[in-house]
Amino acid sequence: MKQAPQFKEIHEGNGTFPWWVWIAVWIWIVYAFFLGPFHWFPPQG
Amino acid sequence: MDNRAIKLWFFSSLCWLALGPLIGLVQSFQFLWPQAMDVFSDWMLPYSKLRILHTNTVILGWLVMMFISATLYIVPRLCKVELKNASLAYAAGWVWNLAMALDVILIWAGIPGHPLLSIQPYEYAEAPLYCDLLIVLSVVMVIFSVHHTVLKRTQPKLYVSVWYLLGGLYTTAITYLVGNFLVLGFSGLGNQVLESWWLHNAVGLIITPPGLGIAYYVIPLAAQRPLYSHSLSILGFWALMAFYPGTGLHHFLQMPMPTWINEFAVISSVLLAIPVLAVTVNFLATPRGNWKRAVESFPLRFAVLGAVYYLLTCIQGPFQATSAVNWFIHFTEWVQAHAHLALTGAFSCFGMAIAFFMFPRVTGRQLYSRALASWTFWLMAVIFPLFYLGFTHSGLVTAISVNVLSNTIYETLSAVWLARFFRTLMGAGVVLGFLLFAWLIARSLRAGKPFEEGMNETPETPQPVKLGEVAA
Repeated sequence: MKQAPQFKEIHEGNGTFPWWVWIAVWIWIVYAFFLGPFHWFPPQG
Repeated sequence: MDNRAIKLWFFSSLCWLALGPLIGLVQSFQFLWPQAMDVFSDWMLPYSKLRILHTNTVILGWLVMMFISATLYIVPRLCKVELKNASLAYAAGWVWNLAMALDVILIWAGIPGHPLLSIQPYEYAEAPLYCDLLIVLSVVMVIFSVHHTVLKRTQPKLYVSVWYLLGGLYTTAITYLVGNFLVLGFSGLGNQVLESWWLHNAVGLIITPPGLGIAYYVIPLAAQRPLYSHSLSILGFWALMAFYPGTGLHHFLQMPMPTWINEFAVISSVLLAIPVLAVTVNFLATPRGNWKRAVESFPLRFAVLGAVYYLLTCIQGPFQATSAVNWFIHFTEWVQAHAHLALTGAFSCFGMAIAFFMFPRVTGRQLYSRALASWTFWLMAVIFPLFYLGFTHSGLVTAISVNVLSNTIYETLSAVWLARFFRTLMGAGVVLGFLLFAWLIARSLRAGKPFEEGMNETPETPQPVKLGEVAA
């Protein structure tokens, strides 16, 4: 009987977001929802 | 294992890679010396056609074909079963090549007014309908083979790469049908909404899922470390599928479009931060504790470089989609620079990573030259960022000239020439990198030493000889 091919396993950990990701996300939210929607410089003057 | 299908898709993608970037280089010459390059118009290849040939061959030829080759390689290995209907996947490769060859010929011929053979007026979807039909047929054949393989798996748990690769085939089929067929049934605003949906999702739902699936496969295996986080991998997949489809309409922020559609597109783009952070944290944290593997393993080097470019492009993309920035950079080469950061930077690096990983395992040959592999890597790591910066600089000069100084088009073209010249110089370096890469693989078929699992993909670094050993 033909043997099933053997392949390497990929193991998985249970890591979480590091602390600096949360800071980056908050900066991004403040920029995107509170600053970004407004035109700092009006288009074409 | 039957590797015929993998090899066909693999080597076909390399052929298209040898063509696509070169066309881009010719286009950049046309920007610099338009009159001298008029000779291409004499051969029925004006800029407008070369642009179509460039994007079609790079996206559908190089990237998608390499990613389908990778799908046919990775999915059976993760499912611990042979590829089912391998002949169908093999035949699909020829159908796809036929579609691409016809695409190139028909775009060159430029037949007007024919329902099946004319160039379509939609960006990235210019392929004539006849080619589109062949491509859809090919994708359906590949889906049948890959999905059948997943259903017959002996490994009950589906690793995240399988989610991305199988999901990516389905999103490819759906996106392609919308962008090439459904769009034809609408006129006016609806036509433009569907066009922009397709335009961005050609990258987001056709290129991105397999690209990420490949990196999820290569990084842990090449770094010889467990994946950093199972839960982040699942979060990244579902957040991508939830938020990406809505982003496309940010391409039309500066055009007449209902505000709610624009806002929906911008918010979707902003929310992309979630999958992007989940994915890149996972990629960059996985090799921790074993970074020395990056010295020996070219697949790891390219995958990590691709992850860095992916992070950068996904920070830039949502940023430029916000109103505060978009009005300034829209209609400039900043946007094309961004597209190159994604496709030439991130996803080509993922493609090269899996090519370096697969080649020895599929052909039984090592890559024959470590020095040549190093050249391709450093051209992508050093010259590509300069090319990207030159491209972006060109866009910023245009934006300042038009939006701030209100210059005429002639003044703007003069102002931007030097930036474009730098872009061409660096772009030539990137094209050289791709050609060296294709040559390295093709030459290794004959010159590569026999490869066995456990060996490096390239010959090992020669160890320095110690004086004491010489004396002994």
